Amino acid sequence: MMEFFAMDYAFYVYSSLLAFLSVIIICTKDAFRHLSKTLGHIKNTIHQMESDNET
Amino acid sequence: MNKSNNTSLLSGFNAMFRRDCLQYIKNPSQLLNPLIFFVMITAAFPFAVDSSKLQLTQIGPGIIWIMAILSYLLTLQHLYLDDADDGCLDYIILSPQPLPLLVLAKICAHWISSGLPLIIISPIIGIIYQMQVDTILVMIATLFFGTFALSLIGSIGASLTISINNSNILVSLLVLPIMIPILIFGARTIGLYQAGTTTISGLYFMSAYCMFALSFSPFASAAALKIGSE
Amino acid sequence: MWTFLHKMASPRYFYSIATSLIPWFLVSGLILMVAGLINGLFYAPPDYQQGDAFRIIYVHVPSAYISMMAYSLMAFAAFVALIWRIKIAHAVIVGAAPLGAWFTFLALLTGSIWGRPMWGTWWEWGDPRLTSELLMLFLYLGYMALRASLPNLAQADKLSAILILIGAINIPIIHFSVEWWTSLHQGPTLLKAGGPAIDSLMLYPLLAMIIGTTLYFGSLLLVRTKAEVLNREKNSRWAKKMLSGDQL
Repeated sequence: MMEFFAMDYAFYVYSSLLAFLSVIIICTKDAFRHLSKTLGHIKNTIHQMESDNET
Repeated sequence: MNKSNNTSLLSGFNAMFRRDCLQYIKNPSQLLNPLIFFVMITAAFPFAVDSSKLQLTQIGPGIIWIMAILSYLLTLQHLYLDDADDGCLDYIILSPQPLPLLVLAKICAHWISSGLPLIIISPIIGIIYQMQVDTILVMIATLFFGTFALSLIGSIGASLTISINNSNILVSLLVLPIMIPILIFGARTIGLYQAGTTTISGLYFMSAYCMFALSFSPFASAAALKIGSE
Repeated sequence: MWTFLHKMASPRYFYSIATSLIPWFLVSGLILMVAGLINGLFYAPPDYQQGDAFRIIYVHVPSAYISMMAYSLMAFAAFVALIWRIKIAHAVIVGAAPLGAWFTFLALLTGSIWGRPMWGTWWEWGDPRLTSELLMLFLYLGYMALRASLPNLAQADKLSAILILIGAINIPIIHFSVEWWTSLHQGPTLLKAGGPAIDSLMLYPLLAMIIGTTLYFGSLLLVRTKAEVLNREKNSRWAKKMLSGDQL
């Protein structure tokens, strides 16, 4: 396995791979977090309105 | 068209053009300030960097071009905001003349009052940067096309942001990416001339860029003005 | 097909179609990306000129492709939104912008990392392709800045759509920059006359990466567009019914 890390220019190849993976992970987490935050926010508003209606 | 009623396209253009020019003449300080800014900053550069003759001739075209663009961007706010502030913009949008034509008239008036003084001042800056007379002529030619293109593209940026207060930085942010090709070709053309190669291709590119901007900028600005004033 | 497209223009149908499509795109994209990366990093033969450094291609080319594709998608959506006034297209543009910006940044970053061993420099200012890709990043950021500063939603939609259309001229400039001007960046390898000029053992992981990243981008785009559609439609009856039924 070590021979894979000993390829030429390993630093460059693996740092660009790392950059790619981190951007992918950041984008995914951000997108799903944005969606659930929006959902939560709207649900709260709806519950708020319903409880206002009931009182 | 009925000539006696004076509703031809040319008369509409002329009326708008004359009105804007008179407004700029009545408020000279609005346009002098960016000009003085341009002169002062370009004159301040040699103090900050190593001002040997070779260095100045190398960096001169780039600095002059960048500062010309930046100070020109400062004048863009007067293109629509003054009219938007006192309500004239609504009348301009509602007028029976086609709005792109009136926008073009405003752009031309803005260029004559902001761009031409910049071009006239530039030889003095060129001398500060140790440019030869023929290089200064090339610089004037590139600035001629560059300022006109900047008026055109800048009007799009200004029209997109009329409903925002303090939109100077935003206009610059929107306009600069589209202006970068002109900046590259303008500054490089002067640099290439100093190095002795032919410059006519650079001037061709810049005039083509101006024509291209001329073809869509009035229409885009008119559309943005109509949307922005709802 | 036209019925499907008509349906997609309705926020409610779009929401349910997107919800069902997201897992498919996500999983297939991930599988293709993993397969492409493993094959490309470990099993593709080293390049005769560049050695093992060429493997950055498996990360750089998909990012650059997505950066241009996302902007073209945004330009097309802006066109649809302005001409046919299909409101959901604005939500698509809003969803695509941050993703496109991230991938443009990634393309610039990986390209710069690749350039260091190959061209000897992290960046080259005179290069047309590097400059136009940087311009693309500025166009994305300018779009997001304009949206953020306009409070009225309808105005923000239309004005930023105009901005996207004006910047769309950059796409052919980026693509043809290596043909029109002398550039450090190499010419087109895949989309040129005579077929791809790359060995098939190297080509297949690359295609897998491109398609996988595109599918993945599609899934994230659907997620973000869902959120944006929900934001715009939160007062409508279908949204209220769906949300009080507690679904994701």
